[in-house]
Amino acid sequence: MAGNVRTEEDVRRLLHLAKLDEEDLKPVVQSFYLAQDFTREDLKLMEVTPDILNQILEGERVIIRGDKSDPAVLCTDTQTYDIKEAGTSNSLLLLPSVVWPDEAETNDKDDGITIASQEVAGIFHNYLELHLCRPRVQKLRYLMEENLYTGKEYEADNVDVKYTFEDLLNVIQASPKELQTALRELQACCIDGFWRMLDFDYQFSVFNHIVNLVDSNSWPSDGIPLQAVLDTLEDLIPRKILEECFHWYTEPVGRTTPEGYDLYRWNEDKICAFLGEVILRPTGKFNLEEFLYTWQSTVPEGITTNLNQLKVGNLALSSTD
Amino acid sequence: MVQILIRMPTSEDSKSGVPDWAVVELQGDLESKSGQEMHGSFVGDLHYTKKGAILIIGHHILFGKTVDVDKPFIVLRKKNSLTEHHHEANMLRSQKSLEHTQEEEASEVSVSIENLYDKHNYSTYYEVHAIVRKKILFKTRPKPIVTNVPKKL
Repeated sequence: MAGNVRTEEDVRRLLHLAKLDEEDLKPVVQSFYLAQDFTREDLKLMEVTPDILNQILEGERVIIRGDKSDPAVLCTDTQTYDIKEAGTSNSLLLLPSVVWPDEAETNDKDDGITIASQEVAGIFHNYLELHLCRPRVQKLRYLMEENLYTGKEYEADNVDVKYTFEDLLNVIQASPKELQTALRELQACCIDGFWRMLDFDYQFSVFNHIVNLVDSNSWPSDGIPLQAVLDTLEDLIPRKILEECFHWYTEPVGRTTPEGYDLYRWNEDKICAFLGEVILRPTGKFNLEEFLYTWQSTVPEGITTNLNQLKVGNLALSSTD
Repeated sequence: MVQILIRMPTSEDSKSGVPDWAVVELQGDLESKSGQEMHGSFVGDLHYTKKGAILIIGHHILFGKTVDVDKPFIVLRKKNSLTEHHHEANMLRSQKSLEHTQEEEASEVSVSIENLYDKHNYSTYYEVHAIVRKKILFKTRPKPIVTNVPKKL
């Protein structure tokens, strides 16, 4: 520490100038000195939550993400936070070592004061603050649409960009859990390690394969065995995709086949919404009566269409048609 | 895009884990009265009373107390894995105001990624250098000590 070391006399002089009575004070006095390099350009103060602090202490991944000129975000495994710089006109003196009041009682002298010299490592006028925010996943759909999956046959020649989960974390400002949720909402599938969205027509053809299989086997609409579907169709369609698509349009019944395989039934609302979109896509507009007729005749046997189901998808009903 | 990891120090860096540091928060700014370089210089004396803390800085006396911070702070130290011991200049400029303002002003600005990493070195990461859970807060305006013989720092 540079400068003269203060003596008891120095300390007492200052005390008396300040009109303080030594009797009222605890015996340990701390003299603060600025460090040689107290501007500390290499240090930053960040205000976190106890939760985030624990995650860091436990070695979990806490990462700051963003493109060069993006506003930075901090991501834990499950959440995303905006990083803001909070400025204050107060001074924050950072001290590596301090004697707290309950430690200031004891004294190595009978009377008199003990002087502890403490270094001020840095003085700060701002710090980083975290604000819980929504993950920035809008870009995800755009990235997925760059290279839609259109079928096994086309993959050999497919040289367009594909993203693994880690690749996506590199370009999307979101936590792993939020990214997973976003991928699920986009109905993306992980194929050979890459996350892909299905081309719509391809998705329809997969659906048709499954429906036709159910029909040709005369399986009841509330007793569809997933295993059989996968085993039968996996030569045509990658198993991963089959499974994902199957789960999009079915729900478990809670029963199994005699061999122990899970049984499923059609999720009527999702199927109707999907098929409604299939019908409307090419035409854009459709006369309501004609649409309802076509729609009902398209859905699998035993399922009833209902205009409310369209709210499940991205479709709008115009009043004139 | 950039991913900057915040991590605990490795066992080579620190033998006993991350230390607890303290913050002393006071109104205004520290200036050198004589205009001299402040590095290494004496700042003031901190005393404890039964109820709180007293800080004497230059001609001022401040009254405050020890409190737990509302939310913990971490002290991050910028590092890069290529040159472990080289401290890159921090591009985030801290605003050093030399005016003594009365009330605390707060401003909030989004931090652009450019301010947090080293453009020429993509392996920047931040190490948790210390944790702050308690501070000594001097909320009141510093009171000038009236004396006959002004003392210089």
